[in-house]
Amino acid sequence: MPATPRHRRRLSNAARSRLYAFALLAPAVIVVLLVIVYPLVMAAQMSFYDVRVFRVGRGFTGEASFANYQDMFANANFWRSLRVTFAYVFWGTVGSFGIGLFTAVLLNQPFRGRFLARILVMLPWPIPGVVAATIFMWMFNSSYGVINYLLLQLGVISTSINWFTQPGPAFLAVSAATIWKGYPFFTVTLLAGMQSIPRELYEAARVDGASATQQFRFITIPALRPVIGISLVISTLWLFRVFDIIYVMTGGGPTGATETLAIQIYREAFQYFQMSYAAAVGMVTLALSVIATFFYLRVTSKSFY
Amino acid sequence: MHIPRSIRRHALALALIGVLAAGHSLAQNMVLEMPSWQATEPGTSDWWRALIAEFESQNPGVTIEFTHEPFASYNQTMVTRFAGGNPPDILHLPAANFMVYAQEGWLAPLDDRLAETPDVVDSWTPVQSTCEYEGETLCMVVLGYGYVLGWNEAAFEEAGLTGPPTTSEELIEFSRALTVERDGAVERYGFVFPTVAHPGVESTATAFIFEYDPDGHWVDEAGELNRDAIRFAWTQMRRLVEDGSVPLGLDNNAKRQFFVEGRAAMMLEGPWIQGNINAAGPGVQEHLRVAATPFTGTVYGGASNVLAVPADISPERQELAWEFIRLFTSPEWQAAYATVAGQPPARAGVLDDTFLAENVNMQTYVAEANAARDYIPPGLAENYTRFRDLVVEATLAAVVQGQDMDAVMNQLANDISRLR
Repeated sequence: MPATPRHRRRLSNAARSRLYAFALLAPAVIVVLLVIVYPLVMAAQMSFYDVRVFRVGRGFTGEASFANYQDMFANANFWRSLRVTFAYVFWGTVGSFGIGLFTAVLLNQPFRGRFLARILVMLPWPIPGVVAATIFMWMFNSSYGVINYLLLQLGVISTSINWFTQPGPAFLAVSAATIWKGYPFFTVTLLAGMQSIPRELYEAARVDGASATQQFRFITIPALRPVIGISLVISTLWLFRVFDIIYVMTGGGPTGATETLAIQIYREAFQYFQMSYAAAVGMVTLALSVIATFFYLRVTSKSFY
Repeated sequence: MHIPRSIRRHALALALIGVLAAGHSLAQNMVLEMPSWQATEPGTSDWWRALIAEFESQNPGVTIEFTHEPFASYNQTMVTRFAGGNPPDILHLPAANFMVYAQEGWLAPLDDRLAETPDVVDSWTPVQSTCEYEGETLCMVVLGYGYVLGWNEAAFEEAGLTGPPTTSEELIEFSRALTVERDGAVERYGFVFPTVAHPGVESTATAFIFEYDPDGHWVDEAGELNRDAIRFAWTQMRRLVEDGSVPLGLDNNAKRQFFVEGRAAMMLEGPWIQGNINAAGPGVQEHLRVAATPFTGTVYGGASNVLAVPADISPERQELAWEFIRLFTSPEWQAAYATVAGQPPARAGVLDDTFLAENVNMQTYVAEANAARDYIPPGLAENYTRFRDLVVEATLAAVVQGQDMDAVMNQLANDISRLR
């Protein structure tokens, strides 16, 4: 039998490489699409319908509308939660970053017992949020908490503070737990960033007569800018979605003083079963997170080197 | 390989017998799932387990898997299961959450089955109306209750008081007298109620509202706020807080803990207080007593928890679930609810006089349950959970944070009008 001529087009090496790369990436892309994009699309779609309890495979009935968004923007509780979220993210970031930077600078210096100090400083990071919240609840307990005891002993207060019954103190207590849980992340990233700064820069600065403060201001901070940028993005996104610490400590109270958007979404979806409304609040939270990410990256992306 | 025909025949016959036996055993070994937050509660769980054992002995081959789910996440877990098409076979539910399941059409109507058991319908607690939705009966109330006052007799004697208070004025006065300070710290509080976001805040305030207005509620039929009654309730509660007679920052669990440890002399609670009393340590337990609530109006109460049959399970499983409910409604198991679980039965006339004479606490539970008015305000059953949270928030603002009551009431009226 005569051989049939082969007309198959041969792929170039570059095209084959690309195809191979796509094939290797495909499983990861499929997983991302299924796990991240699909729920996101479903949530976005649900926010335009009136769904109390979402059921897979049932689809959405009724007419799509902006009713949930209109309700949300007309609801004073939404605006209160938005204010609380901004305050929580701001103070959480400032506090964690401040302590993280301080501890990173400290741990970047050579001293005896540095290894042990590094372990101790990092300790809050792996502790689960629920455990951290429980520890802080005990510490802030109005009857036998160590915080009231110390403040009374130091003469800062004359009577015990009921931390969880008043809005201001409750917010302070929740923020303290969040900062404690969040600062090691900054310590790790900033310390890693500091250790990658070439020693020659500091030596040259010293030769030029720069003080320690000047070295920190004109070498360390500018060199750390990209690390600070990405750390702030990650920390902000984490703070936007913190749930466990707040829910365990205050449940969002008292009188909504610690009810962030994450807590409001949970309550609307799983306490009141208004899942469409919760999805609408979720979409706004997502938009805010994206805006914050762009803002940070834009401000801090300028390279030092 | 050649296998003789006779061996092949035998092998085929054996395989057929095996398949038939497996099918038979599948039908005979049915497992019904029944999750509950009460599966580990002393007393109540003993009664459930005894009831389940009896059901299993009456229905050979049928087993009930009685599993524990924490109360805090119970409703979310059940809703998720129903939404995912995987409901349990027997649904045990806090009555306050019933409406979500009813509205979603997840519960099978029981009216036809109840029509065959008129004795149950005639003798069941009046709060059975909680189980009705759009003209259908979708559940059976397990416990209808009224609030009672737990009080510590030893503390009362120490303070020179002879018996529990009978009005809210006396409650405030007695609480002040019962509060004991030592070395600058409060050793014992006169009264305890939750002062952080918890449903117990709403129930306490409602109990005071019912004293001021025995026929009223937070809102009337038209949705208007019952301002005078609310002001009265908040004022009385604020007086207790301002007197320092109530510990601040406690949730309901801590409230009970304070009472059973003798660190608070009085608390309001449902008949499940009996479990707390039974669990109290020696030196305190023998002093803990139960009395009618110290309010002259009506008693706070209603349906506590219910049993229902899911609509999305097979007819065979529905039938078995109903058989279980029927057994639960029988006079002997209703009587056992009092003797084993220590709770007032939903079925009237099942407790004999001798038992009641020997159990003073049970007399109080039954009397308060019979006198109780429903805690759900008119027209708010469908949004009760959100209403309750609004009331908790408003009460904490007015009572604990000392905010202006008129301003808080205006905000509450506005929030409730949005609900309705």
